Amino acid sequence: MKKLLIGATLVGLALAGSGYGALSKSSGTSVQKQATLYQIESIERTWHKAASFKNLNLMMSIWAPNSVAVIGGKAYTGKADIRTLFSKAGPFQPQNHWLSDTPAYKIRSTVNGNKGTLYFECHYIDIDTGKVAIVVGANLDVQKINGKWLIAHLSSSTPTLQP
Amino acid sequence: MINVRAAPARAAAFVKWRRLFGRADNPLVHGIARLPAKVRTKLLVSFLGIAVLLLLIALLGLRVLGQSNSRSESLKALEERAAGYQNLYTESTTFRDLLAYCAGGADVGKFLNGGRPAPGSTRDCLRSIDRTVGTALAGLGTATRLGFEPAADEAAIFGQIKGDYRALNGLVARITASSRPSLALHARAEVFADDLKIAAATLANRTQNKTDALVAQNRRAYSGSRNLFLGVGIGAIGLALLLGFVLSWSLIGPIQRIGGRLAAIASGDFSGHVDVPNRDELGDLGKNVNRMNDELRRLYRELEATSRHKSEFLANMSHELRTPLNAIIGFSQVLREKMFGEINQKQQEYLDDILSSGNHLLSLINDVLDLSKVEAGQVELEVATFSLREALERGIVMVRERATQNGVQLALESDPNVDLVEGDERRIRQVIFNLLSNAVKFTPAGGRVDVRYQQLNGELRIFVADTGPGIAPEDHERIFDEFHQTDEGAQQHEGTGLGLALSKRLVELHGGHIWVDSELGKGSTFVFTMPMGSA
Repeated sequence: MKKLLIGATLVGLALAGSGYGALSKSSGTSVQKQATLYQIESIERTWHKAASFKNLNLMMSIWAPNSVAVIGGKAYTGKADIRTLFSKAGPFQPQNHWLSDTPAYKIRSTVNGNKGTLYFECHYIDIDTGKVAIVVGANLDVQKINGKWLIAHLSSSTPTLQP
Repeated sequence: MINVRAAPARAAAFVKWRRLFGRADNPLVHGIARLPAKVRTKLLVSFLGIAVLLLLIALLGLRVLGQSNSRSESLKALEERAAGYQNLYTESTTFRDLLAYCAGGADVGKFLNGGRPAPGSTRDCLRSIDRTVGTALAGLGTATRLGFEPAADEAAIFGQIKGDYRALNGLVARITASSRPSLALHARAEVFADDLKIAAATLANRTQNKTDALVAQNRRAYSGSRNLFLGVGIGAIGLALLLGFVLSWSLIGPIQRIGGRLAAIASGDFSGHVDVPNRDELGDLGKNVNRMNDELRRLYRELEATSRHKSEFLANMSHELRTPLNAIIGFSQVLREKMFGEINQKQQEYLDDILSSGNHLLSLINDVLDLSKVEAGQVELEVATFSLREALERGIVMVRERATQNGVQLALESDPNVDLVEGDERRIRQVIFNLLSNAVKFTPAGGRVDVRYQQLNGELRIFVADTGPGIAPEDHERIFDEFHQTDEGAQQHEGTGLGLALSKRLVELHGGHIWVDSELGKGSTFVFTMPMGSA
């Protein structure tokens, strides 16, 4: 009986150990994914920081070299083309005092290896009037290049998300 | 800086290594040699060992090839799926980009136009893409027909894609059917297109990641297989070389030692024993060689003693025989010379017979005595300078009378460059006389005997050629043995069969050698040499 108890205890310990190992591994993978998603969503934060401070260079720092942006009836190819797009865009005009942000419920991201997707809707608030100037959506394909997540493709979206 | 402490250690290690792997006499070879198994068994075991190694390498190769083939097939299937999903993703992106052209409505126009309302209406934009959205959706629909079954972990996502596609189909049908463009319908289509695109991207990325992982696994497997093969190959070669080395030296070493001992025995050295530690056929051979050596040594000693006794006996007997024989010959000659009065015809004939028989017996005894002295090592050459030409002339003079009686011509061809030589003149003349008397004896009437000499290849050669019946090849060596005569010689009832044997010993005592060149019916040429050092 004593031997049986000892044996059962050992088996139980072994099962517990293996279960803990599996849980630990699963937990590690999940944490890693959360960290990656955080890095991807940092693109949205940089976007709005650049738009709010009219920092064109900062905006361009989150775009991949051969990125494409499809918006307003046109496809912009390459960073130079995209820079031109933003240089003429409302948030970057000196006369506009717009503050931009994305409500937490209006952001979606996925990751798979070195590629991912990011969707967010931007609220541009005119601080002179205190009203929302525009709301635009962006559907992005992102890619990790040289250790940094960058925008590879932008498709303009119609904002639809509600709280 | 030289590490003086390490040097002796390295030297000791080197000595140990040499002792272990040095050529023949090392512990490994010794160990294999001491194994109580037959050579055949040892060879069989070593060849089996090598065969097992080859088999192991072959099995490893088959296993690696099988794994490689399996990975190749998996990779091909994965690449097909990756291509299908990538195509789906591309089509979904195209469709989504088409929708993106007019997405966002007036706000996007204001965004792009520096914050001011943009010229042109959203409805015009929507109207412009409504014509092509159906075509783009058809392309997406084609891409959703993959041509393969999604894997189990992809089925759920692909199901979502199909669902999104059906929803898009419905929406696009409503968009294209409506005469008035609807931003709301487009916005809903964007949502489904986004979902579909994300799902397609997930499938494409996941499959690509699997492909990359498989390629990496293949690379690792190749590297591992290569290292395994190298390791097993080097190990197998090393083991085969070690086996070959140890086994061959466990066989060659004893064979060399046995060969050396046999060579020593062949040269008359019976003093040593061969040491073969093998417990196989070679060990038995070594023991038998040692036994043979001991037996030969015993026999050789017995033979030496017997020969010495024989020579002593012959010498003593010859002396004892010659003393009364001299009396017989001497008194026969006195009577023959009529010193004690007249003798009648009959008495004279008998005296001639006594004298002739006595002289023959004396000649025989002298030859036996000389031969026994040579064999007993009792002959000491009285070396001096003498004229070879004169020695030959005297020899010819001694046989001339008989040659004339037999109708045989005698001739001497002198070499003006050679005259004085060094040697025992009496013994050389004895040799010359033996050869000349044989030549005259066996040459028929009308024949000739030619004597000549010359320097050749650093030695002096003396030739005695006759036109006699010749000597059969099988007798060329045997005629120099004691008491051996050719058939012709035996028929002559003359001679003892000792002349050539004695001549051979005397020539060899001078450091030369003697032989005969002859063919039956073409005469014979006896040749003996004297080293130039003695000339």
